[in-house]
Amino acid sequence: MQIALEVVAEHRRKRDAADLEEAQKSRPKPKQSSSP
Amino acid sequence: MKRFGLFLFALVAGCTTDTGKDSTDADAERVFGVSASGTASASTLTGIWESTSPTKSGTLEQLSRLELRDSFVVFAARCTMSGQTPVTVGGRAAATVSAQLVEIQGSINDIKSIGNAECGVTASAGSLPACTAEQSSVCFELTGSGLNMHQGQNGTLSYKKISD
Repeated sequence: MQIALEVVAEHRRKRDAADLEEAQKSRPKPKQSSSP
Repeated sequence: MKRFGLFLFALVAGCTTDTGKDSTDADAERVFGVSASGTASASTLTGIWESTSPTKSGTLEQLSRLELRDSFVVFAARCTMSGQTPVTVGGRAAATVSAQLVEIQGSINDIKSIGNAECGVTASAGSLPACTAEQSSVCFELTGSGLNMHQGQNGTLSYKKISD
C-alpha cells in the first residue's frame, strides 16, 4: 500500500461548499410521478 | 487552497481532530523548533525536511515539515493567518526508513481550526520506495539538493533539508 501524505490548508466556507456539492451529487434524484 | 491525496477525515466537535496513533503535539512543536542549518546534508534521507513552497489560500499560509528517522516519522505543519495565532499540527508514526524504502506503520491525522479555516496534515500507513528507472511516479527521490515525494495522481511534495 502506498504512503500518501496530504497537507490541508483551506477556508472552511469553501470546504463546506465543496462538501455540500458532493452530497448533492450523491443524493438520488426523486422519481417523477408518471401521469396516467 | 491545496489538497493532496485522498483521505478520510474524522472531524469532531470543535473542528479539531487528533487521531494519530503516536501523535503528540510535542513532536510537531519540536520539529518546528529546529532552526535551519546550512550544513544539513541533503544526500541522506534521515533528518528534518521543510516544504520548498508554502501552501497559500488568501491570507492563510501553511508550511510543512517532515522528520525522517530510522524508526519513526513526524509529519507536521504550521499555519499562519492574518490576525490569528499561528497553529501547529502534526504527529508521529512508527516507521522504517532506509535508502531504499520508507515504510510508515501508523497513520497521522491532525486537523485544527485557525480563524475561518482549517489547517492539518494526514499521512496514511504504507510504503514508498526509492525512485528507479522503472519506478518514477510513486517513489521518493533524493535530488542532491532536496527530497521529492512523488505520489502519483496525488502529486509531488518537494522538501529541502534543514537539519540532519
